[in-house]
Amino acid sequence: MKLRTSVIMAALGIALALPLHAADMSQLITDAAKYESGQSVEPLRKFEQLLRDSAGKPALRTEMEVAMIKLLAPPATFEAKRFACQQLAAIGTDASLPALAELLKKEETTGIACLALGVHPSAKANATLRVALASAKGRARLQIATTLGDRRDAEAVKSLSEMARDNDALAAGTAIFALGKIANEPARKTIAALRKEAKPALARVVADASLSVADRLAASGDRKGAAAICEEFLQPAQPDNIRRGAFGLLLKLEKDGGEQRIVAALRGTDAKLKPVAIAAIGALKSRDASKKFAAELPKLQPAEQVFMIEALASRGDSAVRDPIRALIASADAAVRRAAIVAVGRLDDASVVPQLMDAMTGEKSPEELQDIETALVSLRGNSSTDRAIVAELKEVPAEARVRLFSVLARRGAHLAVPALLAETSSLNPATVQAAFQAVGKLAKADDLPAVLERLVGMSAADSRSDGESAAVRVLQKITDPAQRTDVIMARMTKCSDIDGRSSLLRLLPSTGDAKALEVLKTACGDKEPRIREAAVRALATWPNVAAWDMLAAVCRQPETETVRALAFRGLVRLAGDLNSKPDAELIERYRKLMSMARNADDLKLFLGALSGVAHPDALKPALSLLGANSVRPEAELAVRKIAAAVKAQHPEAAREAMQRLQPPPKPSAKAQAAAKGQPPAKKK
Amino acid sequence: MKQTRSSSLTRRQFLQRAAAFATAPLIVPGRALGLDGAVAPSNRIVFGGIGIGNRARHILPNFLSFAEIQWVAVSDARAERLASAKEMIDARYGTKDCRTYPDFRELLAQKDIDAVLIATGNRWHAMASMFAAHAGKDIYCEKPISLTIGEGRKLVETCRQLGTIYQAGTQRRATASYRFARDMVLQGKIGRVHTVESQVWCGSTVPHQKPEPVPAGWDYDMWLGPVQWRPYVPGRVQGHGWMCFWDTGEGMHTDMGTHYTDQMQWVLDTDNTGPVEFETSDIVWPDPVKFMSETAISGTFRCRYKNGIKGVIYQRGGFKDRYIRYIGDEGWIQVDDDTDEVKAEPKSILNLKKAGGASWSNAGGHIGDFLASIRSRRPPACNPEVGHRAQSIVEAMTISARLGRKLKWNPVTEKFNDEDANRMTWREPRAPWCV
Repeated sequence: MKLRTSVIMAALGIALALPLHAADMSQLITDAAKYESGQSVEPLRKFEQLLRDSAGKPALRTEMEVAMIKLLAPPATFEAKRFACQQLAAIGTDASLPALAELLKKEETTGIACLALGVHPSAKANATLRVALASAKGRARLQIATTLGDRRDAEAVKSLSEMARDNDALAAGTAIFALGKIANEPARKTIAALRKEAKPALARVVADASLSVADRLAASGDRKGAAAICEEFLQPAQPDNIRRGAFGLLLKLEKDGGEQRIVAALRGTDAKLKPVAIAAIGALKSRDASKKFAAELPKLQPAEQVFMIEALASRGDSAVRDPIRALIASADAAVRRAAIVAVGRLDDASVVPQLMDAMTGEKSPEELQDIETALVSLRGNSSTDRAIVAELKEVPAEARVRLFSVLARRGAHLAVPALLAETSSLNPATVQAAFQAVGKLAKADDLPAVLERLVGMSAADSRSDGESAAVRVLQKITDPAQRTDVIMARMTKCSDIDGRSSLLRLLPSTGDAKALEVLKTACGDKEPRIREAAVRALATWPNVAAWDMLAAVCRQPETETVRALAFRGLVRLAGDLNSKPDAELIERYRKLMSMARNADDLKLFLGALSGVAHPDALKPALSLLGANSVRPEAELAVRKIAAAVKAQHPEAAREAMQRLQPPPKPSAKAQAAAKGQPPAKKK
Repeated sequence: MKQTRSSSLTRRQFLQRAAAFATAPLIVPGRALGLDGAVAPSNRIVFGGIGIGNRARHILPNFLSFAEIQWVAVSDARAERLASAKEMIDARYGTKDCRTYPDFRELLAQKDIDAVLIATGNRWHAMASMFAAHAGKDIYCEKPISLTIGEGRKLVETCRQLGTIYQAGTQRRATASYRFARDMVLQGKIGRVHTVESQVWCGSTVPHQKPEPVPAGWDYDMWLGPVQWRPYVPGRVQGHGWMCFWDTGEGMHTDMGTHYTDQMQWVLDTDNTGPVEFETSDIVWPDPVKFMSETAISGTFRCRYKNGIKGVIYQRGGFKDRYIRYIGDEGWIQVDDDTDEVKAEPKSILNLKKAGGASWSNAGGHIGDFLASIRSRRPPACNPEVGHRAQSIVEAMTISARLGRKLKWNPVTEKFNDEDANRMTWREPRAPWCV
């Protein structure tokens, strides 16, 4: 389907790219002129391709424009005209203006004409619009005024100024907006006059236009003129947004970047402008602004301090560090949290003790989380890491867990020795968290130390945490043989049974043949716990290489526990092979079934078997249908296997499913016969 | 020098108490506001919603979860949507107080409303935002922020002139997975970045359909808004059909691609500028015999920054295949948008990621940033300039695809080296919609 679509698209592309002859063009215009929704857009797309092709080809461009102009005239449909205007927006020249002028005369086509005229490069387009404005009514008048404003047509100011005093508020507002965009001197005069004389309903539009004018004056270098307008709109009677806009522009107009005005606002009582003033501090260019405004911090209300901290922090320089640090100990929670977040962005190792102190007291979870995030974010790399490690000795076990997480998130490799030392703790939660961090941070070179700690552990409950960490570190060594060598190097020196057992349990993470041999030997160890550890390791071996060894254990088990472990290992390995269902796998399942000793074994077996998409897998599953203790599992396995093989082996699947049907009820005659009675007669 | 403690408890005792809080979940910080927990009515930010369709219904619960927000009004051009939005908001507050306005200008005239969520169709985003700014409201507007480069620039200027707080609803800057990817790039974990690659799904097509009467309950004129009039055709208007036409949606790569250009700009620290070159290839357009839709089905959209870094958006595959990948000379890092999963090479980078964090579908963090900005008046993460620059990239790619040629772009003057292309950066809005 995709290929078919691509072929169609390619063919269409070639067709569209072919040059058009005059007759073709004429036909294309005729076809396009009839376009209405519901019909093929092929003629329109051909014109769009022509537009693409006409770049740098004046003759073709002219031909294209002529065609579009023809589409603007009757009998072309509205949608054809709309399409033509869209194309003329990109390519129209003065040649198209007369036709567009005709469209401006009718309200229903004024908008689409303005699509083309809005971006028309010629000044003559302005004249066309102005002429049309004089007689336009309703929406057409609004449309043309808007377009003249968007084109910033200076010569339209007179007409627009008259329109700005129209009794119709919508018309007046539209004209005032347009004048604000034009913003030349005559337009400015009109807007200035309107500030005094406009109806209250238009006050906001006049204010908006005035700010546009101020903006334009500022851009042209007339700071004084711009500032005068802004001062006027800064008055408390003005709407909040107008005041904020005026204040923002005033700050930009002043030679000191608005520093004095900001200070005045900070010390004043205008609650609407104070946040705007603080927000502007971040962008001030003067060097001493940070120091100057940091000095204002203690004088502000808590909510204002929060804003100020953010603004100062956004400046990012060293002058703001100490004043912000001081607020980590603020009595106000919001201020403290703002300061903590800010030091996280700005500060380095030297703030670590203060952040540790900030953890004291009854703090909310959010604040503690902020402190942790700040510690993670602090600059200073290794020096900061060292400072945090130094704090480990100072804090109680519960808080240390948080620091372990911080060190892990910082990627603080130098913390590994300290974290390993923490695994000697008597607190299981501390040991677990320390090992988690070690697993994240330790590198291959650290593995001997990690293993040393593991074999030396006395707390049995935490041993699995140590083993998990060691496995994570082992996975960072790409060569499996090298992983085995590191484990073996430690094992040869280890006489402790628990330690050796732990090391044996790491071997599956290598998947290496040498490691498998080690486990084979360990299965015959004189110490029962070592033998069990070896079987446990074999049962988690990552590939089928352990099959024969597990099968051997299963056939001649030392204990029922060991047998069950080996059997589960075999089931897992068989299941792992299900993605390649072949005769060899079927044979493995056959042997596995023969090793099952009880219903639990058979349930495990059927669970794995049900994932084999091979018709021969049906036979062992069907054979267990008669075993009441596993009948539901056997049925499920048959259903799953049958569903998986149905497409390629419909007959085998059908036959298997038939075996699941309950046996048909014997007829009444047969039942009676079985009871030695004559059959009942029909009534 | 350690700080003096005011309490008589030892540091150890304090820390033991503090640790009791340590396992609680992270809550979006309202630190800038001091607004955690209950909020007095006088301190609430009063909201209204403009355009309450599919997207708004998805994001509205995120807004309503903030205790500091009081939602009082909704507006939509479709009566049934207006009614169901009112129902949803009234249910949240257990009242019947949510006001409804078929015309959003009436909603904007309400003096008690401080801010608005704009979740209309794309054609309305910039225009409605500018109307809201003029009415003195702060704005959270769904992406894309505009449908032409000129409209986007106008939005930036309007918000600046009127001191408006505006947040573009691209929300991924507040998402843990995307923040992590950015941090890793900035920390040099993948070396020097040379390419930013992303993928959006294939665009839809709309078969030819004849005009039909406007359904009852629809204000089609208001629905069209600034788009020059065209007849009501269900396939062009309903569902996501409007996405497949230039003046109502601009296609999938423009609509969705802006999420990834926003990320690209953020990571490359180019929020106030943009690429210098745009090019497209392999564009597959709808078959004009079968389909009336205009925008591309698939294609490759490229850009290049002045420093040589390349951006690529592939429009291909399915909805679930979208991603962004930063490729450096020492590795790569990728965020799968559908699953929020981060992938990387070398894989060791992933060890540095902390588990958890809300995905992009929870816009709470982004909304929280917006609310904090309303109070502090500092620009939010996706302020108009940021949103406009990200959107300009996909717009410029679209223009390159429509013209079928490579374009050079001056990010300072915001002009192409091609006059046809420059004329496509603006589309005159339909009266009376002007700003």
